[in-house]
Amino acid sequence: MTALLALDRLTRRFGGVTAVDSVSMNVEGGEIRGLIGPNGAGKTTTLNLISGLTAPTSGRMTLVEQDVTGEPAHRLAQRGVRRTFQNLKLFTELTVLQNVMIGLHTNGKSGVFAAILATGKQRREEEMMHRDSLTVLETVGLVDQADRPASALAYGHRRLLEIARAIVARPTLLLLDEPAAGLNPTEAEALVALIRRINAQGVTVVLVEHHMDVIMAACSRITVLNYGQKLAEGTPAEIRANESVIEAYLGRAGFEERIVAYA
Amino acid sequence: MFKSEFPSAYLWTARIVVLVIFIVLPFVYPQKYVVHIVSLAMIFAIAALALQLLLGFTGLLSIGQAAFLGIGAYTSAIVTATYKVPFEIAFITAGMLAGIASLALVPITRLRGVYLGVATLGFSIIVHLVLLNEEWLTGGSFGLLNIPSPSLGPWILKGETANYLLCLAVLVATFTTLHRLLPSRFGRALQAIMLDEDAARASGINVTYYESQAFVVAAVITGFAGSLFAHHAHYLNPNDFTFWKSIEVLLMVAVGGIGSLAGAIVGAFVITLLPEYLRVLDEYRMVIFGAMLIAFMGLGHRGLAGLSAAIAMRLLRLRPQSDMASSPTPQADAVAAPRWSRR
Repeated sequence: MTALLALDRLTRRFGGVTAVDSVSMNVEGGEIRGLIGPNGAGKTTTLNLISGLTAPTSGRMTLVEQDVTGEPAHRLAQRGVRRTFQNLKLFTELTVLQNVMIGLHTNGKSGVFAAILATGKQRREEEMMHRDSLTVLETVGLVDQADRPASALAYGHRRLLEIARAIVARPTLLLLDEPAAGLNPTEAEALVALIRRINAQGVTVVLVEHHMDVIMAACSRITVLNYGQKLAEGTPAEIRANESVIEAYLGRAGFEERIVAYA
Repeated sequence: MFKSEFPSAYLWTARIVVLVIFIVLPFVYPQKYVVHIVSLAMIFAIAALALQLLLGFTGLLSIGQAAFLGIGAYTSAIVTATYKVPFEIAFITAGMLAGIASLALVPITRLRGVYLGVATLGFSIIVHLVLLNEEWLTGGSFGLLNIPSPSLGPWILKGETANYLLCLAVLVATFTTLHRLLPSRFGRALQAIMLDEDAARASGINVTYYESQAFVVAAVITGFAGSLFAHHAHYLNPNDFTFWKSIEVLLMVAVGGIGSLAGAIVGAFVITLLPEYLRVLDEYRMVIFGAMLIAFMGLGHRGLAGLSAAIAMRLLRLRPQSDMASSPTPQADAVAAPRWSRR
């Protein structure tokens, strides 16, 4: 069995801190993989490594059987790796529609001259981007807000807009960094349904999340990180029963997490 | 950003009215000096529009635009005066050479904010020194004399009015070009880089490539402005292109309003014309000028364009649908601050 995404002893050090320590992980095509762990476990750094925003210190990364270790983010995005961000990185001054159209950047070709001359090809491309973006906004339920500035959206809608921007180019691998953070239970439930719908269209998902109910409802397999290392991996049921996971969450690390949460 | 707060009918009416005023101006107000100085303001407006592309739409601070203005001006002057090349070809060559020269800046586009600004300032200083010291090419501090009037095919555009209309045509073409560029795939990529570099990269935008392209496009446009400048003045001196000129172009954009094409033009007119009209104040001229700069900056980064938009909105009794005004979350303003102001 060949994995869509394979991490082989991937490591990232920041000065003296090893944020991700020799993590190996195989994500099969079509699955929804949960990535959990206490605060500081290296989940976001792992997503940064997979999306290319951070280069690994050592180790290898393979995507669809091709070695993509150290490739920059824009190249990986062209290969179909898209992501959302924990702290929402929208283009706030642009409209909702323009935000999504930027997600389609890799599907276009026209550059400076095509735009100045407004060639037929360029206009068809714009129309295509316009149409596809509206379709995706319809999927996430933001189509009536298409012409509003992204900064005018309510918080939950901003999260949806990030997802729309990430899926509009039909990625092969979608990385979601805490998409349920700040959502109420109803919104979180709708989010799970949306993630499942995206997945049903053939998008493999890696989901980092603190809401355990979201993880348990959405994921087929779960990888647990702790102190930058892989602690456990398995189905939701296996993870729930895993001794070391329980200890990591409720033991010393869980205590620290609560301290951080209140700080 | 380029999403305007006005209904586009108002905007188009305003643009056409302004254009008509500028077309008839030299005929109803034919004092040579006025036509000359307004032409100069339009030339700088072209340069300011180019910097607006960098600063207002890509988030790149350049304090070196005088370098491209100088390269364009000297190229155009030398090939027409020395090699008798027709103006149209000299004009294109000026833009091309300025664009090629800007490739020297590609390695430093990785720099951010003030660091990029200082590096481009260094570039401006070097180009000025080259213009000053390579006497065999540029005439050194004596300058270049006898630069011919511009010509279009068989017509020689002699006289201030013909030159004025040429500058106006290039200004309108530059505005239209940028106006088309901003809502395109290219323009969106630039604005994405400015608003959130990580999100831009994660969306598949090659940041270095697009930043370099922005620099080249801006340099080509500034080179065109330089060519107009040479044939407008008929005489070039290296001191027209010191780093102070770079700062003036930056002032035009800042005063007019960062992120507004119309603002760049307004800013160029204010910075070029104001000192002329303040001449009556004699030695207090620059003091008043400086004080007015401080006052303009009190308008915030939206400058005169933002101020006049607010006034027009009030006059037309339109409710603002601006992102800032209607944002439900107070944090939106902080998030929207462009990159160069954050680092």
